[in-house]
Parts: sequence; C-alpha cells; structure tokens
Amino acid sequence: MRPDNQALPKKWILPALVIGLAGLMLTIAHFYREEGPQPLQEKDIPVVMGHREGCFLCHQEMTGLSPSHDPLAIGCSSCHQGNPLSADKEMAHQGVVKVPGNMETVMATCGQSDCHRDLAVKVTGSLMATGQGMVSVNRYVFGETQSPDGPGHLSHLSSSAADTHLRQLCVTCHLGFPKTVSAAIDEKSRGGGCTACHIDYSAEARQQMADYHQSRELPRLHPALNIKVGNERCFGCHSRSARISLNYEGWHETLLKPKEAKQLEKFRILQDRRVLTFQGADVHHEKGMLCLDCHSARDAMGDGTGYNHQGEQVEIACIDCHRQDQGRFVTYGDLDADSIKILQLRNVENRKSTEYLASDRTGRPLINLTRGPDGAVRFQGKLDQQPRELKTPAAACTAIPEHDRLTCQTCHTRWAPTCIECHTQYLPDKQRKDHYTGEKVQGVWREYKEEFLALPPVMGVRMDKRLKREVVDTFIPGMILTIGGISDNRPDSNAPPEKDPDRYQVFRRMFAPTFSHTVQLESRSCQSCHQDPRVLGLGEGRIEYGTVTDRTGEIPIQFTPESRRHPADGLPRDAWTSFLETKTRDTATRTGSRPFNRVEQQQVLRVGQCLLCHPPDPGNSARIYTRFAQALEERPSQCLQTPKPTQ
Amino acid sequence: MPGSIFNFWNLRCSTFGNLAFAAFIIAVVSGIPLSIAYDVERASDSLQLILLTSQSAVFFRSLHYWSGQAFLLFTLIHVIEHLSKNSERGLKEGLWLRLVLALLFAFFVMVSGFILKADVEGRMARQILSGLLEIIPMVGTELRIAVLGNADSLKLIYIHHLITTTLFIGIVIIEHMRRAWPELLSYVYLLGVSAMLAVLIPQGLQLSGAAKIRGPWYFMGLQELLHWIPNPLVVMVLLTGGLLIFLLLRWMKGAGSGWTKKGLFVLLVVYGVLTINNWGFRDANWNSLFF
Repeated sequence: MRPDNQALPKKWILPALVIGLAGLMLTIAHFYREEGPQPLQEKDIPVVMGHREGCFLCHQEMTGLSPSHDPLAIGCSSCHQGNPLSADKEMAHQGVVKVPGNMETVMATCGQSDCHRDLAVKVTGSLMATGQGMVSVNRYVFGETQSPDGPGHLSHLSSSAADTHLRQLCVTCHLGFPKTVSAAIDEKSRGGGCTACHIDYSAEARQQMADYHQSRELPRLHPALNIKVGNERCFGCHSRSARISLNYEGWHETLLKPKEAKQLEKFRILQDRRVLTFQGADVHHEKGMLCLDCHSARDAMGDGTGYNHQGEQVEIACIDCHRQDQGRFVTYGDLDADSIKILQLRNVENRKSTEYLASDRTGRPLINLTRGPDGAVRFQGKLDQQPRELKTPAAACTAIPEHDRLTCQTCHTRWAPTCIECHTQYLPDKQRKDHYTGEKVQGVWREYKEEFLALPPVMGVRMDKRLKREVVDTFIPGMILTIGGISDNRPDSNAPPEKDPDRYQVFRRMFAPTFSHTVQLESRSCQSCHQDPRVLGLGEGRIEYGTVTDRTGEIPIQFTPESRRHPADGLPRDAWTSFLETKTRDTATRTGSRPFNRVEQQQVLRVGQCLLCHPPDPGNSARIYTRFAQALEERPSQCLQTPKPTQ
Repeated sequence: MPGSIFNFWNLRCSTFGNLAFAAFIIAVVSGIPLSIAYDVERASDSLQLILLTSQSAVFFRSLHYWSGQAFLLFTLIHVIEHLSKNSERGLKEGLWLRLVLALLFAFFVMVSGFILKADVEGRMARQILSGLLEIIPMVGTELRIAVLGNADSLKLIYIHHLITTTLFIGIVIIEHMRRAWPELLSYVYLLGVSAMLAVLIPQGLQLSGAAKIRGPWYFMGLQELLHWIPNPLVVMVLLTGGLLIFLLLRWMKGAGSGWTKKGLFVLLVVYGVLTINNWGFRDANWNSLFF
C-alpha cells in the first residue's frame, strides 16, 4: 500500500500529464472560440417569465406576435424551449423545439402550467389528436377486432395489417403527426398539434420564412398565433376521407389527372394534384360562414371526454340555429373560462351584458348565438362579427309526424361524395414510406378506386347517443371493399397472394353515417326519397308497383337492380342492403347504424306509391301526407288498381 | 479483495485521499471568482447573468461544480478504502469524531451549493431539506433556522457554504492528511478532468418545472426513500441510525465490526440501486419503468 504522503513512481506521471494537457487544451479552445453577441450587459437581457431571456441577444428584432404571445411578455424559450441562459449559439439552441405546438412536446410548450395546460390536455385526448375512431374502424374492417368502437391512437400503432395500412396511408391526418418544418399552412399541411390551426402567416411572414429556407437569413416577422381559424386551416386534413372541406365549398374530387381537367366545366387542381369539379356549395358557405362559425372550440379541440367517433364529439346541431322555440340562454357570468377568453380575444362588443344560447345537445354555451332584442336567437360570425339571418324550419319540416325521426340533413343535403367500389391490396414486393416512422418499409398497401360520384346520400338509421334514440340520417358507402394480401402482412405467412388470391380476400359492405356539409336551402323532393331505390340503400334500379288487392295487404313491389351483382355477397355492387329484407350485422362502420329494415322499406315505398298519382302539393299534403295512416284507411277504390311504374 | 483493488489503484495513480484533497482545493479556488459575481440577494438572477455575459464565469462555475462532485466522490471512496483496511481503528477518537462530522459537512457543503443555484431544483432541494430538519422532534425548527436560515433568504446558507463548512472541512483534512498540500499529480489529474467536464458539460440552471426536477445525485436515493416511506420521520431515524452505527465503527472489534461493515455496504448498494432508479428510470411525473 502507498500512503497518501508517499510519492508516485515516475512511470505513472505520464497519464496524469496527458489528462492535464487535454484539459488545458480544451479550456484554451473554450475561451478562444467564437464569442456570443457583444456587448453583453444586463440591460440587453430582459427578464421574462421570471428569468433572463438570452434569446434577445440575437432575436430582439422579432415582431408579429400578438400581445399575449409577445416575446417581451413570455420570451422565446417559453414556446421554443432551448437554453435561454447561454450566449453560445450552439448551446442556446440545444433542445430547441422548432414547431412548439407539436403534440409530442406540447405539455412543455403551449401546455406548460403557466399557459394552456387545460386545453392541451383536452386536445391530446381529443379525436383530432388520437384518431381513435379511424383506428378502431380500420381494425374492425380488417377483421382484427369485433367492434368499430374501441381503443386506438394514431400515435401508438402496432405492426398489424390494419395498423400498417394506417401507417402508410392515413396517419398524417391527425394532430399528433409532428410538423418538422416551420411553414405556412397550405393545402398539403398535416398535423403539427396546436399550430395546425393557430399559426397565421401574413404574406410578409410567409415570404420571410421562404427566404429563410433558401438563404438561412433569420426572419424578423414571426407568424401570428391566434384564434382566427380560417377554413384553410381545416383543409389539409378535412379535404381527405369524407372530404367535408371540399364538399363545403362545393368541390367534388374526381379520379381525373390534372391534364384531363379541361374536360370539366368548372374545375380546380389541388397542390397534391387531385382534380376537383364543382357540384354546388353548402348554403352556409355561400352565406360566407366559416367552419368555426358552426363548430365550437369544444367541437374541434375536445371537451375532455374520450369519444369513439367524430360525430360524437360534435355538439352543434342544425336546430341550435334553426329553431322553433326561443331556446335556453346563459349569462356572461355563467360562461366557462375558455368561452370568456375567446370572447375577450375577439373583443366582442357588449359581451358582458349579452346572453348566450345553450346548445340543445349539451347545454354548453355557443358564444356566437345570442339573445336578440326580440328574444329570438341571433347569429354573429366569429371572425367577421357580422350578423346573419337565421331561418326557422319550414312548416313541412314538422308537419309530417312520421318524419320526426329524420335529421335535417336527410332532406337538406345537396350531394355527398360517393365511391362505389374499391380494392385495397397488400403488395409485399414494393416499398413505401411509413409515415409513422418516416422510414421506407418493405410491403405496400395500395388502394384502387373504381369511381367517385357526387350523388344525394343514401338514407339509413343511426343511433344518436346524445338523443338516446334512433334517427334517420344520411349515409355514404364507407366501403364496398375487398382487401387482398392481409395474410402476407403477417409474419407467419409464406403463401404469395397470386397463387391463391381468394383465400386471403376480405369483403366488406359497410356504409358510414355522414354529414356531408353540402346543405341546401331547398329540401329534397318527396319522390327523391320515396321512389329512389338507391336512396333506400338498394342501389340504382327500377321499382315497379303491382296491383294492390286489398286495404290491409302488403304492396306487391318489384325491384330490378341496374348494377352487376358482387360475387362476394350477391348484392348489386352499389347497394347497401337487400330489397325488402332486414340486414343488421356488419352493415355499417358505427355501432347502432344500419340500413332500413323490411318494414321501414315498405313504409317508405308505400308513400312512394301514393306519390305516383298524388304529387306533394299543399292540398295533397294536408289531405294525405300529414295524416298518412288515416288517409290510407280512407282510400277510394281507384287507389286499389295497378299504378303506373316508375323509375 | 477490496484492499487489493485500492492497492492496484494507489500504485498507478494519486491516492483517493490526495484526489479528494486536490478536488477540495480546486473547488475552493474556483469558487472565489464565482463568489465575486454571485449576489446572494438576487441569487438566481446573478447566476443567469453570469451564464449569459461571461464565458470565463461560466467556465469557473462548471469547474467549481465538477471539482465539488469529484471531492465528494473521492471522499466516499477514500472512506470505503479506510474501512476495508480497518484503518479507522488507528485513528484517535477525537479525530475520528471530527472526520465523521466533516463527512456530514461534506454532504452539506454540496447540497448547500445546489440550493444556492436558486433555480427550480435548488428551491425544491431546500424545501425537502427544510422539511426533513423541521420534523426532528423538539429541536427541529431551531436546527432548521441554524442550518438554513430564514425561508426567504439564502444568506445563512451562503455563509455556511462559503465559510463555516469549508473552513471546518479544510482544517479536518489537513489534520487527517498531516499536510497542507496534496501531491502535485493529483492537481494535474483533477484539473484536467474537471476542466474537460466543465467545457464539455457546462452547468446551466433548471428554469421550468415542466422538465423532470432532480435532486443532486447523492440525494437521489434519499428522494426515493422519501417516496417509498411515507413518514419522513422514519427516514430521518434511519439516516441518523446509520450515521450512529458508522460513528461506532471506530470502537467495534472482531466479527461484529466485519458484519457491521458488510451490512453498511449492502445498505450502500441498496441506496445505489435507488439512486439509479431515480436517475435513469423515472419520468417527469415520477413514474418509474422499474418499480
């Protein structure tokens, strides 16, 4: 043993010298490397949020943010993190968050405890962030689960066939998909958490950011962060899938290539090269209303409740604006903190003395629907703050008792995007980007579409969870779909699909409830529902009424479909259900949704039969259709003869 | 076996005693320029200004930090070395008592430096330490005031850090080492390593509570104990009991001494496991991947 005061043998001095020298050289290098900005004085570094904000040493000229996000109030690091206590460029930027709203870092940025924590918690659990319905329906369709309602999160996908399908084709459309580059929102924007909706580039800010990407010259104009959420912020994601952003503006997606677009009368080509044709806009769009004029902050960002599907999270309903009664109102003092904050940010006049309508569905306040001087509901645009006239429902909407199950959109939907048949195939030999990981992966899911049509939607029955009863609603073919090659996506499979394609094919005929956002002022005609087999879910075809022989017996009706029958289930390729049959299992992408059953089909077609001779003019409406059951009993003898056939 | 490891080291490098002594001197010296810029009345702000306005102050602060960590680490190893060789029995009773007290002071000088950062972590550490002292029956409040001072001031902690503990530790080291200066090579080693760490891993401040709030590495095990044992008084009793047993080692003989040392070593290993769990496997919400 060597005591502490005994010298070390000389041969062991060298390692000590090497280490000492290395330390000395590093120290010299440290002091000689590029210094930070000069002069560095106390007055150059303001205190924000209780600490010195060194970011101002370089970024003091940044403007463009509103007072609540002014760098002098909250600094840069509150949102962008990094190290505000270093004047060294490299160290100061360690841990910098380029896009602060991204969900993966949101609790440390927008959602930190001093800022928007409650909202961040709600948003992270909302459907736009989780895509729960998208995940669970997709797994259900692929046969991986027994129900379309279930857990699922687009940020936590597995490597199953269904999830791989989502990873390759759908996963970018949710708030949890991170934005990696700071840029203005355009038609191709996806994800980005809070910034997906709340970042607002002026033309100059957009130009400066573009210059920065070219020349690395630091922008001096920061994009604004605000609640002026225009329709373009919704467009990137909501122009896909049900395509409500397109529908609302009247645009219908085609399968045409851009060079073929000229054959269309009125067309538009999107940044992603999709070709659109004009089919007629939603009446609310024509009146200048924005998405957020109807949809509340809770609709978009969630209310803290975990919902399965998009339609469940939405609290607004047509009858909130278009009502027959006065409605229930709450005072400013009864509003929740978020609603008050929004009214303050919008600087709404007389907000403290105003009463706000409570949603019929949830009882929560809808802050742009207020009590007018006459006591009735008054509408005000959220961004333009302009009032707009609210129509009350026409007498016809409530005159027919049998129509009490109908939603407003059942009659007032102009058209809905309708794809008749599609095929999804797994191609094990191809490669594609997995959006989830950003890496190329072996094996590709590819979708083959047959045709996109703009047609009035099909009608069906949906369980409204808020009303707790069945309603008749609009449906579109969620899928008339075959899936091939599923087994080849499983690790235990070694059989190529080309050898036995049928063995692995899945067939699904499921319709999805939709609110297509193509509302028109006029109602659909009575005939368009009661005499159109396609609307009933039978597909295009011809309906023939036989002779009615007595007053109580069933109507002899024949249906001849136009479309070829699908080999998988024998139904016409555009149908949802069978003629005068009841189908309840595996018919829809939502629990509680179904096509009309046998009795309902008969009831609808029976009215159609009467319409052949008795058009729905006011006289006939009063005499027949508003008292239909009684009118049937009172039928004169000539009604019991063979009517003329109809299409 | 442990003795042969220490011999292997000591024949090729500075002894742990010398390294700890050198680290102490470097920490004291690097603390001098730091104390010029540090303003205890506005502790956090003055440190923030140091970080933003002076490269040299940033360097000296980091050097002070790393040499301090080295001092505690090598002191602990030096203690284990002594115990493994039973050399504590050769020490005079008074010196042994002073050495044990100096070891306690060594922990305090470290944690007081941590508190003097006055950032989120520092404030949290002060709160925990204050709570632990307060819980001691009868003398808790007085002890807390004597050690930490008024809750709204860092002045007394600063004085203890700068003078009381430093002086006491310095005197006891010199008495123990019987020399006023460690061997030159230990300076070269310590300066080299501390300077490299100061440049490569400079020390900042924890501004936000959003990230994981950590105590200093030597108290991470204590944090874990406080997590697992709901009553902090029990933790204090355990710590005091451990310290007393350690103190009595000087007078223990034969198998009793050996088993006590083995028991203390096992406790040290357990503390190490708890430290690792805290350091590497707990997230910001204090959830552990382990247990």
